[in-house]
Amino acid sequence: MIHRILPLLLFVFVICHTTSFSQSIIETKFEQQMVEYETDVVRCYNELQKFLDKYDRNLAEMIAFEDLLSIYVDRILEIFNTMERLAGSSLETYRGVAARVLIFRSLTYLERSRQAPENFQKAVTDYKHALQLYKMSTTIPIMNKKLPYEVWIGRKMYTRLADLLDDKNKDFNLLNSLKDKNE
Amino acid sequence: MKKYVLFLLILLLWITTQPGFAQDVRSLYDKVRVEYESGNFGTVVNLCKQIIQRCEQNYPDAECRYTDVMKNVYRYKGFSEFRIHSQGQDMDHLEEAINSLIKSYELYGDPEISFNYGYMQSSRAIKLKNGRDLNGLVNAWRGVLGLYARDEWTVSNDLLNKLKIFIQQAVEISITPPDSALTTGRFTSFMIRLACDLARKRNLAKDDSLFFNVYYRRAIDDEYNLRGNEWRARGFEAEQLFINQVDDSTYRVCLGYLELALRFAKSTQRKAEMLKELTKVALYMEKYGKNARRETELQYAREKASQAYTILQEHRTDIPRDLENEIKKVYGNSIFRLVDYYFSITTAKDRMNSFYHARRIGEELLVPDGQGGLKQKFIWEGYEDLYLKLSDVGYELGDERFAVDMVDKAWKAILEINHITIPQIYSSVNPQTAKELLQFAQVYQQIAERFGLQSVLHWLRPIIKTLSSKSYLPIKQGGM
Repeated sequence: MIHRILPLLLFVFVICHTTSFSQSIIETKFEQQMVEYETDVVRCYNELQKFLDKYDRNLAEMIAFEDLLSIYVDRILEIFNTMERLAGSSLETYRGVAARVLIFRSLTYLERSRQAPENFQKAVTDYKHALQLYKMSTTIPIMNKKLPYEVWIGRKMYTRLADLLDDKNKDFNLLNSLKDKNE
Repeated sequence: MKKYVLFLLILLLWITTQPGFAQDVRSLYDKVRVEYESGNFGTVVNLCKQIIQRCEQNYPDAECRYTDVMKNVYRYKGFSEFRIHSQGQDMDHLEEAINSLIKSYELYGDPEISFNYGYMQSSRAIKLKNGRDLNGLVNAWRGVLGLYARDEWTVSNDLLNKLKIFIQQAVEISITPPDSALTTGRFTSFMIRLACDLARKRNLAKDDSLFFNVYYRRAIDDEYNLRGNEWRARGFEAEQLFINQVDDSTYRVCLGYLELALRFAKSTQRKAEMLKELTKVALYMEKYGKNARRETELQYAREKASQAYTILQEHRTDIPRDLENEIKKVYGNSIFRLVDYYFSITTAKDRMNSFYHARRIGEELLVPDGQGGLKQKFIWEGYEDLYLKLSDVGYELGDERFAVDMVDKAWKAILEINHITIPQIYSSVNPQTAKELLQFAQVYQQIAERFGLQSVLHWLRPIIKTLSSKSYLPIKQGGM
């Protein structure tokens, strides 16, 4: 009897393992891609900083950088959403990447919020989206987590998004936008 | 009344004979595909317009609701309009093509379409000389990333070709308009770096590897100055063409590109390099150009070389040694050639004036030597010739002190260059060196004779005698 069932059991075992193996390959690929795209987001953000002191903020190039960064963020969110659908609940790594790039895009929009008022609303949306990703989490909030890389702006180095946000958003517009909603 | 009825009948007849009348969208769509395959782009555009028109009616056909049909209608229309534009360079068709493809992309986010309308937008920006329009690059890049993701994050051959097209457009936009580009070039430089990084994710063939390496280098050199680097590259290419075919046209093109490379240079090293190249080109034109305006070219060369030397003095640590030597060489050479020019154009009428002019030019390179005389600011390849020429000038001007000082320095310089001392002249000097030294010694003798310097002549005569005898090559005896 066992002789008859054994090949079947073996077959089921192999199928299960093959599926989970290919699933993990896909996940690894997704994670690798998200990390690569995040690197490009940070490169793009750093490059954008070179314009801030010297040039007019309505410069076509600044707007182009804004659009480019947005393309990358959209790609990352697309992978993140796919992973969420596949795995049910997304992994910490994916969530971290998605939240960080959303904050970077929010900061990018903020740079030209005076020149283009609609940018502020976009910045608030991304900021809220990033915070929501960590709403149910028990881990350290993304803003206070140490970044897996250094961000250099001019001669200043940042290792936490909170510091970067405090420096870039000195009048705390983003925080206030959340407060207004709560009140 | 009869007339109106007849007119209405004719109108009805005309409408019914029009292509597409009473045809449903499906049959029109089938026709579009056939016509597109046959290359009848005008008909394709016409048929697509009819489909769009029919779909805008109150009760459109079912096909109008199918994304697959409509995205293709706009796609066929867009590509056909672009083909028509390519034949006649009509900007209206290009505009229509872009709008059609955008519409297609909005219906179905095909990255291929995004790349294509991005490409068309960049082409439009280049043609209209609007370098500020960077939307094309952004949209094309959206397409590139989409295609990359669609191929499971691998770089296919098709994507590689698209990256090359993308890079070439980015470069072109960075120098649009050609005389004074409208952006800083930072964005295009960044885009090229991204494109090259993406291409390098796969194993590249030798030629492809070279292509991406060259453009990556061009994007990062001189503080990520793609625009300056592009002008520099074009300048060097034009310089090669100019050397092969020296005429006014190639000269102007070459100067234009190098001047632009200078204008957009960011680092001091690049500025110095471009000034040096401009000097070289002007000197070459003066020497080999058929219709060269000699004085103008020489003055231009002198001016550019002088600017390069000023940069060298102010930022010596930023300039590599080989570039420093080249700058000194072209500066010295341009001064020498200008001195020689004024020295040689003298006429009986303004003889003295030309000599004084030549001397003033020469003095640009002279500084006090601390012993009551003058010496050149720096040693360069050929500096002994300038001393010799200036001694000639001093001779003609009748300035004993200047002439003797210069010829003495020329004599010492030629001895130093040949690593030879006066006693060695009597023993071990080869015919070639002897010939070279003799020329200097004879000028020295001439000056000494003119100003009656007997002791110099006394010292010089045996040297000249020895050099004369040694400067003739011995006739080889035939047959061993």
